[in-house]
Parts: sequence; C-alpha cells; structure tokens
Amino acid sequence: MIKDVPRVSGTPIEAVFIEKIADVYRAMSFDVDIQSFNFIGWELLEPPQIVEIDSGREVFAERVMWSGSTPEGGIEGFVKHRGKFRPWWVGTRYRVNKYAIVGDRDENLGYLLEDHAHGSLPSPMHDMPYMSVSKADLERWRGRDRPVRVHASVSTRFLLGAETANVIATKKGKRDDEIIVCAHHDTVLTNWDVIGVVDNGSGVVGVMKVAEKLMNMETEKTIRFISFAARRIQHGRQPVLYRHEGREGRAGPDKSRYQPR
Amino acid sequence: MRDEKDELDRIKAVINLDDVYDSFREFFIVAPDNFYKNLIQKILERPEVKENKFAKVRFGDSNAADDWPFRERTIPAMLFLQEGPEEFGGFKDLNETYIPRTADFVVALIEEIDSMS
Repeated sequence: MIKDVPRVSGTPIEAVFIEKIADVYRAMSFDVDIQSFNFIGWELLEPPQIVEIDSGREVFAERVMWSGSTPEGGIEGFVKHRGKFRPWWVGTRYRVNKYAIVGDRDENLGYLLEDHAHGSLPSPMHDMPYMSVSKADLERWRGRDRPVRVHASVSTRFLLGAETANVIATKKGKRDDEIIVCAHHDTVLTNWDVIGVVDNGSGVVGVMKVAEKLMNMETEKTIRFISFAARRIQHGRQPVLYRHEGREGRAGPDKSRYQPR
Repeated sequence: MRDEKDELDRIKAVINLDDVYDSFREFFIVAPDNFYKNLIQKILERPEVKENKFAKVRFGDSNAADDWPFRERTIPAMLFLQEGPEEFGGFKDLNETYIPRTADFVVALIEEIDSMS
C-alpha cells in the first residue's frame, strides 16, 4: 500500500493506512494506541496559473502548500527578485530564490518561489499567495532588460478541524523510561503525482523493521514506535500531540469524519 | 491529572527516520549533542555496520522534522535522513537492503541507549 497511493493527512485513504500500520504492530503483539487529533488542513481549489502579459505565454507553476489565494480575477504586476527564502525545512543549506509580483506602487501582491519542489511554507494560514515557478523561467525573466509583467491566480482554502491520528505501539520495558523510534506516515502535497514511498513510507517501514528486531528482546526501557500523522501539514507539533491520555479504551479515529472535502 | 512534564521527562531519547531509502547519497544525521554524535560515530565504525557501506555521513542541524519539537524541549532527539531535494516526496522503489541495515544500525543505537542509566 505504501507504493500504491498517497496518504495525505485527513483523507480517507490515510485513515485506512493508519489502521494498517496499527495492524502490523498488533501482529507483533505490541499494545497499540491510535491517537486522534484535529489540525488545520489546507486545500487547493484552483491550481496556480501564470501568464506573461506581453507574450501571452502560459508559464508552468506549481502550488505551494499553505499559500493564500489571489483576489478574484487574479493579480497583475512585475516580477522582481526579493532575495532568498528559507523554508521550514531540514538541514541548514537549503534556500530558494524568492520573487515578488509587485503592483504599481511597488507593493508585494504575491510571491514566486524558485523550484520550490517540496512546496510548503513555514506555517499555516498565510494570506499572501505563493506559487512555485521553474528556475529556467525565472532566470529567463531576470535576464531581460525590463521586468516582465505577469497575471497570476491561485485559489486555496484552509480547513479548520480536519482530523487524523498518530499510531503508538508500545513495547514495555522493565522501567518507565522511554525511547521513541518514529517516522511520519503522511504524504507531501505537491502538483506532482506523488505517492510518498520515500517521504516517508521508507521511514515507516524502517521503524517497523526496528520493532520486528526488538520484538522478542528484553529491554530496560520502554520502547515506543510512533507513526506520526500531519507531518506534512506541519501543524503537528508532536510532543504536544503525543499524549498518554485515553491510551486505554480508545476506539480509534472516527472514520465517519474522514470524508473527502 | 496528567503531568506533561513527567511524561516528557520519561522520554530519554528520540530516533526519527525520515527518508531512509538508499545509500547512494548523503546520510544526513542530526545529533542533539557531542555525546550522541560520538555514540553514533562509534556505532557507524563498528565492523558489522561499516560493512553495510552507508552513504557519506554528514552531521548537521534541523528545525523541521518530527524530532525537532522534542529537541526544543531538551529531550535528546536524533534525525536520520537521506538528503536530496529532487527525490523528496517522489516515487522510488524501496531499497530492499538499505532499510533493514538502517534498522540494524538503529537497533544497535537503541541497545546502547537502553544500557544507560
């Protein structure tokens, strides 16, 4: 299943996947808790569209998760380089060129991020529109004598109260001290045909392999194998979500709330 | 009443696996401090682990993966990641050998941490 379908947090298919992860750990005889929580979801209503005004040429643009919408009718302005953008991201070296679409008073109307392949912003609820454009197009624009003028539009929506769940499998040790081995199971949202095998089906399977190897081993400390949800939604600050309450008797996520939106 | 501080105090280490699909590119590791960095290096130098030919190892920093919120709360949290932006989120077959040997490495790390008081 990891190779078949994307598992975006809050979707019905993710709910199925959560159960399947739980089943794998149950089969290894671990105690399993499915820990439901709400998060702020995000949805693309209309994909980005960018057109060069002079040539009428349509430029390929990708969505950037957490982007706001352009006003009805889109925005129109000149493209100007605005330095580097550091996404909320692993590593310290990753930066992308940031361009603004600026209006007649040099005000920023929206942003273009260069090849922002992973496509997300540092936090939810941006009201400014962001779009990802290829390096080739942006460099072509930068190389011109005069700034290029574009028309751009994108429509997005924030979803309050979306629901998902972490899966927590526990191997009791002699002591209450804990070691956590974790990975996120949800799939990134981009324009691509993304499944999420690498990011992060590989980590989920890696944690399962660790569990399998430790299954019959006695440990001093309690080991928790956690499959986190909403990693790619990026609102999930896991220690806050990692709660022990309701460990007993929790029935699991309410599937009826996992409806397509 | 649930005491969140006590719960967090009980967590002695966090090991986060994020993109562990092949050994051809850089193996990016975040260690919370020099103690854990040395411990990880020591395990990577073990003959049985070294034979697994992990990719070039680079230690660095991160504020974005699932380990970060733990580290923010001074819980020793580690990240193991195969870096390479063009593959992020894309489809690649799971490497059938890399994941198990990553698991072997993590088990060795857990055994070390488990033996600590």
